[in-house]
Amino acid sequence: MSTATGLSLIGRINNSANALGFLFMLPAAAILLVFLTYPLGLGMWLGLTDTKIGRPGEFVGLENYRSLFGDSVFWLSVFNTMLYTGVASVVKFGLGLWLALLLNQNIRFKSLMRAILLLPWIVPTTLSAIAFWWIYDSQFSIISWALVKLGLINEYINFLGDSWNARWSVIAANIWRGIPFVAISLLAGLQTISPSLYEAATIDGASRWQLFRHVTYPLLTPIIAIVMTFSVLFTFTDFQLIYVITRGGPVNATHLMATLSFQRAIPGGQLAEGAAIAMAMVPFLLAAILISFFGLQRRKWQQGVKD
Amino acid sequence: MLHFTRRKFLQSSSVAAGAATGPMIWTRSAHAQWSNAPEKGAQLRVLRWKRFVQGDEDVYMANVRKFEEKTGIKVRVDHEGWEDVRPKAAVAANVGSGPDIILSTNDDANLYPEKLVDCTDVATYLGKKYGGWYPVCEQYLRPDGKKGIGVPFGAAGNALVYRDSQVKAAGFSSFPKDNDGFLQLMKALKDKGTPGGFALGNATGDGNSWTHWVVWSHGGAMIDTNNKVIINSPETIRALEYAKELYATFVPGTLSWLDPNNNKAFLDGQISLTANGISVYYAAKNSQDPKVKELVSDIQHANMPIGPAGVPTEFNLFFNQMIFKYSKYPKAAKEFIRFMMEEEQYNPWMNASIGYVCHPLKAYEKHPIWTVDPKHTPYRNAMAVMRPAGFPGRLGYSSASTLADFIMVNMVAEAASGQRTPQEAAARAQQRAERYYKV
Repeated sequence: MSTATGLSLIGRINNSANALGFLFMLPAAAILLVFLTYPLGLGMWLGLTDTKIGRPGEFVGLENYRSLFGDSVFWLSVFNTMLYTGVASVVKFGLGLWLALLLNQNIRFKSLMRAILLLPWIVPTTLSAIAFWWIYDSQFSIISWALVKLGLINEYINFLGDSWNARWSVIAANIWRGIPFVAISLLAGLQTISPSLYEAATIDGASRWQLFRHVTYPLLTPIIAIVMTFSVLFTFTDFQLIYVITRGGPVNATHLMATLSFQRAIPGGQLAEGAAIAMAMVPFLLAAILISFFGLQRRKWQQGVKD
Repeated sequence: MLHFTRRKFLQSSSVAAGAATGPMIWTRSAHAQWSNAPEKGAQLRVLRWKRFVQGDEDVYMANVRKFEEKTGIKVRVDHEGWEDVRPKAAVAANVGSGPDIILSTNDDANLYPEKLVDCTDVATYLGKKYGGWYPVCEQYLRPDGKKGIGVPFGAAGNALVYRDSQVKAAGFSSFPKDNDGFLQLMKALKDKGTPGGFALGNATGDGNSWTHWVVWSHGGAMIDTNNKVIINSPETIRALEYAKELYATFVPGTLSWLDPNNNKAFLDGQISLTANGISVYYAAKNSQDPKVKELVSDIQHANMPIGPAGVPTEFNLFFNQMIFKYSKYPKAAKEFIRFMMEEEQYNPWMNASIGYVCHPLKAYEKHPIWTVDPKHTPYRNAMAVMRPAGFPGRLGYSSASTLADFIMVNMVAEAASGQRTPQEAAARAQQRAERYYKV
């Protein structure tokens, strides 16, 4: 009796596309739930408690956020994060696109060049961060040393000891590290553009700028949207570069929200406050994702597909 | 269960009746006695901070092997960077599983005292046998004056490391002992083109130690005995004004310095003076580079100067040994800690690390390592004169967070570099600290 119903149930599921689809989705959904939703939910909850590391906490509502609101270091970290993300993303996009366009030409040693381009992306971030830490060292900087030897400056540049120098220095390190991702992704996008479009436009007498503006750019937009979303997300949540090069110094001038969150939560033991800082990053990240979403919408519109 | 076995053991070894109540027996007895029966089939896992000097690890591990041979208890030791031990220990305490013994730093034991095995007996035994513990040990590990929540392991002493020839060239035949003389020396060194420098970046070790000294030596403190934040005080302002004058004599770039920077700069001959553990000297001694080797005879050490406070005011990195309640073998763990602290083990270990870790037990003051080379001597008193970061209040989450957030370092850095006036910097530190010491 029971086997019969069981069989018929399996049979019914087998014949239903919806039920089958649901079943096949379950493993993926479970993974998302366990490894994404749960940690995110836990982080949100922790931000609403007074949990300390090694000690469970109690619900305190928005107390952590209220406390952070009056904390100048937190606001400094928000400012730093916006500056860091804004400047680094724009420059990475500009240079990345430029490199992608160059590498899309028929140049010599194309494959070799592309491989070299990927190097900064391949090197583990911590290692490149240590390299930059030496490059920016107040006593051993190779840049300062070279400039002094060339007679261009008299004393070593205070790369990481001055607030603004330090900010620009870590931004430069981040740009160096992030360009390959943008360039290679955009290069992949460029190669999907059919050469016939360029031929047609050339026959119509389009200049090189017009080719770029009216053929390359519109067709690259969807890729740009995705690449830039990821680029912004990576930059916004950057941790390793800062932690190795400055630890957020001098006097918190380079503290990002991610590094401040870590400093408060783990070495400082204020797990709840760290979680609250991490949660404060979410609205910004959501905004970046929404921008990408609308970028993707535009592609449909461009292809003449009605929503 | 635990109680029962203990009682049974004590009876069988014919120790005075009433011993079952525990630690009191040691304070009553005239001689230090130790009797402890480790659990049968015990195994231990130890997590400790990774060595700063190679000799430490070599001899520590040799002692561990000796313990295994003597007792038959297997011991696994894991080494982690000292800043990573803290979160791991806290998580172990919270989750209730992990290493049986953790060697950690500063006020860690004060974060979860109720999760730790009462170590009063072993601490009392060791104290009796080796001339007593330094007072700072009590502040850290016997906060209520009764119960021992861990056993002190030592402290990484911090002292002024300087180039003798350059100090002499600056016109100082002996090293100044007070703040005024020290400032004069720093100015003279700067004028001679051989400046010194202290870390002012977010350097957990070196930044914190000298900035706490500068504030304390002027009589300032983060909090009072009731854990009320009092950093915004005239004493602090004076300390910050002093720090500003001091900073003017530093080599450029100290605001960016993290823990390794001063070591690198000193060993490269770029600075004449800094504050550090004995590791700079150790590194020079063991260097293969002839240029660095040359420094060995020129390196000298001196204690941090004494300021208006009138007493030494040092902040050194404290090392503890904690046994966690979740451990299945607390007696074996106590046995291990006792064994490692006994002179047969502790003496050779101190020798090998040339005093990088200063002893917590007074008897070890006489250890030859402190006098075999006069350059070691300034590190001998590290534990005798040091204070915990949350001095003079109670230690716990507030003191730990205040330290981890670099509030003291940032305040001194802001004022010294002129980013804020001393008054503004002190007011801001007050505000930041009050977030942790909630009123």
